[in-house]
Amino acid sequence: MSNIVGVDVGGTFTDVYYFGDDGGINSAKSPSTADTVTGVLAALDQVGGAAGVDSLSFGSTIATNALVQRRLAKTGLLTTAGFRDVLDIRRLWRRDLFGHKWDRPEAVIPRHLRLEARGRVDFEGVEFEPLSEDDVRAAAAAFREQGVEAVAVTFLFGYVNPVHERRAAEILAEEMPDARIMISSEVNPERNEYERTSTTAIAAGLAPVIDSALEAVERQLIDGGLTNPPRVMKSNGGVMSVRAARNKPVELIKSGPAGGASAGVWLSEKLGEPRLILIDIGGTTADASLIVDGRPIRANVDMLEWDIPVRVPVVDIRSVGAGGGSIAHLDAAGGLEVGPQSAGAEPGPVAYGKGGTDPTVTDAAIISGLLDPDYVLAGSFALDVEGAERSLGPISDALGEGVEKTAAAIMHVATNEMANLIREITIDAGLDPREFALVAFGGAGPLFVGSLLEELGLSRGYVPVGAATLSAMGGAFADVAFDYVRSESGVIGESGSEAIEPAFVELIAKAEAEIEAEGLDRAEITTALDMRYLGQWHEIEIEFEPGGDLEAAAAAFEAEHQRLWGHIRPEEPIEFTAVRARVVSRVRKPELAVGSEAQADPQAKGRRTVSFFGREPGEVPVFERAALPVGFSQSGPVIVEEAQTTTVVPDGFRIRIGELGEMVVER
Amino acid sequence: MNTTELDPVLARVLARAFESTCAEMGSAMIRTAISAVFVEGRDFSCAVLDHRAELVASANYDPSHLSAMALTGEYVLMQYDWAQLDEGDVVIVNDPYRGGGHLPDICVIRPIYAEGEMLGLAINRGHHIDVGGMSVAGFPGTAKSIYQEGVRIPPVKWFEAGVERPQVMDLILMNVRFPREQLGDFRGQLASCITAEQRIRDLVERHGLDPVREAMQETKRHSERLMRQAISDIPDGEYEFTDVMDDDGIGNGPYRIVVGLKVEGDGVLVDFEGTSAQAEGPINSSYGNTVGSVFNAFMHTFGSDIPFNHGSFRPIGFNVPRGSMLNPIPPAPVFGGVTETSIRIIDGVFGALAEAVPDRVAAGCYGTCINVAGGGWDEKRGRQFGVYFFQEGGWGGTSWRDGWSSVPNPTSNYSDYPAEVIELTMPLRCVEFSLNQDSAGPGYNRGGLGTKRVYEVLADGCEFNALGDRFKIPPHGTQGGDAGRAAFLHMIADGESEEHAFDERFGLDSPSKFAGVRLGRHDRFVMSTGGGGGYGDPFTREPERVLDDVREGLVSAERAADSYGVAIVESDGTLVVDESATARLRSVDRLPVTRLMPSDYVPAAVPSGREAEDVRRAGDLVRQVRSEYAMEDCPACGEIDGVRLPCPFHHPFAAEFWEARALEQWAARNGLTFATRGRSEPGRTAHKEAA
Repeated sequence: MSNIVGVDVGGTFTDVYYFGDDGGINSAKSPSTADTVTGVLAALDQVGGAAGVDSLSFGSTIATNALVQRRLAKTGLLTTAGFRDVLDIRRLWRRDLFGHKWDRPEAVIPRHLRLEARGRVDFEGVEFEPLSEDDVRAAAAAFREQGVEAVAVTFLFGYVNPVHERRAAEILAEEMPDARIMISSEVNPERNEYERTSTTAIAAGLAPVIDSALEAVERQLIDGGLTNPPRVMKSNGGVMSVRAARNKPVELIKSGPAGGASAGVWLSEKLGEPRLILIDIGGTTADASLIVDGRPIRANVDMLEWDIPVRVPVVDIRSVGAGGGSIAHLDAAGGLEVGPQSAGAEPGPVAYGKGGTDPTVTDAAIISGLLDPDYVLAGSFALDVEGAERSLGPISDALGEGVEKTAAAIMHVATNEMANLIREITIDAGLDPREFALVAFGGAGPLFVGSLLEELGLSRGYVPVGAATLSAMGGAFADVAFDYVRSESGVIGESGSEAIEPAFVELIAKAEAEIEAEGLDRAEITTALDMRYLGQWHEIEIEFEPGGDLEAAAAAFEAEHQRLWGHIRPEEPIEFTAVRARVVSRVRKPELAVGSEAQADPQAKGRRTVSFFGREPGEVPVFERAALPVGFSQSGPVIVEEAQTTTVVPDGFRIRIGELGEMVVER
Repeated sequence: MNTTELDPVLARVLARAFESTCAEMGSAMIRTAISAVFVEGRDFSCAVLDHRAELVASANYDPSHLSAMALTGEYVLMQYDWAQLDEGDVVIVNDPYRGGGHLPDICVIRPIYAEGEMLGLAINRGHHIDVGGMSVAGFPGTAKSIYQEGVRIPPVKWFEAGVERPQVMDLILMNVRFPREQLGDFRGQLASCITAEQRIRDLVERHGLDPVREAMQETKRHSERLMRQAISDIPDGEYEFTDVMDDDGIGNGPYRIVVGLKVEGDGVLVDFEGTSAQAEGPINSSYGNTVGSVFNAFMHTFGSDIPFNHGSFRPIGFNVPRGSMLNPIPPAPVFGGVTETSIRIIDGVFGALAEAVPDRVAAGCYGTCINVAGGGWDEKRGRQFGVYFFQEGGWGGTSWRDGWSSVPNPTSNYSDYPAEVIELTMPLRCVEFSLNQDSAGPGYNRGGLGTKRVYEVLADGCEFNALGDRFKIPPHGTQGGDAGRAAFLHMIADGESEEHAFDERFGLDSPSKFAGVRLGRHDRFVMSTGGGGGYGDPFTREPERVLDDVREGLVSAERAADSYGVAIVESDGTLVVDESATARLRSVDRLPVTRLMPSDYVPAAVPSGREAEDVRRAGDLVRQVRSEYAMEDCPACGEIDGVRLPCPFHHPFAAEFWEARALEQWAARNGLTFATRGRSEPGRTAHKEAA
């Protein structure tokens, strides 16, 4: 057997994609659960369970949701004496050049949980003040008293010489045996204390949350008969084992959305669309990313909020707190807002009848007629429509509109939030969004495809087969990938270059050990040097093989410098600042054979009244997606339903079914 | 003029593309520059100007540079004339009396050509670590003339038609202390301009020349509409506020800045009548800097959603008395104008606006960069080092929330230097970076907190200069809020534990402004900024919020009792509010605040002597030319697309700050010889005709 399964644990739903070795696909969806694993198993059961599955990769928004909603473990910071306020001072700069509007985000760890220990090493790693173990023990006692579950340890120059960090971690582990301890020299051994402290603090805050979730997932899947240990989608677009993920919790940031990007790469090729805007709308957030020239845009740091960085290689995905579970509310001045608070999976939308009382986007979609209350989740449970209507009452009263119009206004505000996000990632980068096609996915994505195309002035969009679970599918297309970096400096042609080789040997050994620990036997390792002109502050990564010619690398650097920045500096020495290794082990990818239950001449299965924002309510025909054959075309307004999602297209657009079974939405 | 109908969506797309072009200019700068001030401090700004040298778009870096930069572009066009700016030219300029701010802020400008036509100017202004003059890394707190502040560069061409003129750079680098780093920074500035030209060319290629040109105009009109709308919302009337500078570093002061706002409809006149006469020391603000600071204040109050460009300047008019500290006559020193006086101008505008629209403005901010600069021999690295620290602090409270802690003041926006970068690159050790407890001005919404930074010197005999303010007179509270705490700069000598103010320790005229002080190995210095002023009566702040601040260590229990009337006590190991004691404290009347009287300040004065003579001659020249030629017929004024470009004599406010000698020279070079040598037939110079 060699079946492949992809899973995406979203804030509201857990999606499963099952690729049989015959090319057949099966997918399923189940509400996410607070413990993660129950939801995964429930979804998996719908497609035959874990037994006999050869390989399973899953993306998870555990980390992202915990961060967006600041539901981290109670975390303490232990840092160098005099520097506990680094998390408040940050890198200073305001979000807006002008104006007072901005609310500066709260520090990741509050001041009373940020404690200090004396002890210093200098920039060359030489200790000039011993670590005060008494300070560390006193801090441990204070943390214990406060009920701290995780501690981040960041000392100045810990990335050069980790001896104090390691000793402090030992003491903390003795004094606080139940707490997770993360040290900066392991989490992010890079210069700049604020970024390193922020990254380490977030890693520590995430660790306990991720530990409990992933450990259970792995154990129960294996118990359920999964042949190989499951893999987790990483922020860099690759996958890793649960073992690795527990050691590197920050690499789970954007784990879910990264799967979408991985699927986007595949779609870009299959659809012949080199430029795609990917919008993944789940229960809690809408996540947007770009494919340009068939490749996802990447970054080396993820900003959780303004000036709250996590240094980790990521597919560049930006989020806004507007998803199906996002709560609609009125601000202090009576303005209608959607999100970022979310009802999540539990209690979920009011209509789900699981105790939710705040109106969500999903509730608005039902009331405005976009979603059929009898059809949501293929009728797997009955919806509380009256409850949903009641929950809109206060907003409806404040706006002085009926509930249908209020619901349509909520949908419009949510659309605008998403459209602004897309403008931000395209226009702000000098890219014209109209030169892109939109791919809408995630459970709520197809609901917004028409309104987003309209709002952004795009000419076409796609709702791929299995759109609701596309991120899960991406996990099945991703390779195992790890990145390593180590600071190492020297000037080409002068001193220091002898340190390169041992550094590469060390990184490659790490990479090989990691691959072995992952249970894999083949991998490609690529290596590189960060290079710059002496004294410059920013580096260019240049591919470099151990034992290679440094002068040739220097020439490659100059060529790249010329290409990127339009000039070279012939009189300046060139230095390297870091060695890098990336290891990729290719996984077997599923083959897709798109089947069809299509009818020759499908008819609308019904009609219902829909309130679109800014239009009078009207009757809209509703089709069943499975019945639509390749080449089928219908002009809007039209609704197409499938088991896990509903596509809504207003007038002015038409739908067409393409060769891969994808639904094209065009003007 | 081509009147292509511009698709409104394309106009928006291009407007955002201009902004992202500027952002790319910034990233090109960051990636290719060398000095910490540029790269980590981001003390630079990037902008695209149109072919009339009007600001079209700018990037999120430094507001004080931005607004004044536009005037620099106008000056360069007046000096060179657009037709003399060829494809591939690169101009360097830093003269504060030509639209600049202070000498270390050096502009690099490159005309943007596409399809053979000049579309505008790419311009950036970066703070160079050194610019010669009496003190290492600048900020001579005791300079008495601009000649002591460094090398003054009029617009000169570094590149001519793409060919470098190395002698120009040699001349500049010969006059600065860190030529290697600074050459790297100049190259960063060059790379930034080249990036802009390339991006604009890409846009022209995709969308065509006319739509790009028209979108530049539409971008400005859009901002003008928004700013006019915002100003219309201010009730018509006259509003006034007086803010204060401690001293001028030479023992004079305090100085006052009087901001009068006359709001009428959708326009406003900003009148600085009554402001103190120009200072002997370096706290004067050049005309460009003064005007830029006012734009800045309006943008902070109304413009967070208004794209910052020339359009947003149009509704704002000025009266800045010549010879006052806000429009000084050269060679008055102006080094601190950009970092200190400008903050005071902004707080002054906020103060005046608070009368009209109290819900829109913040109380005063921490009000200084402190600006510590210096350097010496770095034995460890075997090289000369220069350091420039400018510091963040607390902003004032607003009607809707507490002020921000530890962010740059409104004249700037930058990232700090990580301790790990400072120690890696300089003979300094970072001892403490922390929030200043009790620095915030109490209020219903309190100010933000200032920052304390302590450094230890690891080299012998380092030179140390400072140019700060707000050490004596703290930032104002508003609507019943209290003042924030003032800033200070202290030193702790090697082997001692006691902190001393520099003026005490070294016998200086000012605690905040000095030059050439020596610090030795293991001496420490403490830079401490104050907090913002409070908004609203602190006795009305909810006791729970005061308790939170005490728990977090932001406010002490003593301060909670004294300033907020809230009694915080410990109960079962946690801090709680003692409600009856709080009620008692809050029943007592609060003491009135003492204020300075007008007679306490350096008075306003009319220029006399050499300055008066210069102003008279300049005024005569302008009047002479204007009476001779209307702008439409002036042979020295340029023309683009049927729009007249003013020469210095017809420019609406060039005469406000051009020196007589510069005007005479310009007139002579451009064939307006009648002005200085009687009436002769005016005509354009040969190079103009050749072009």
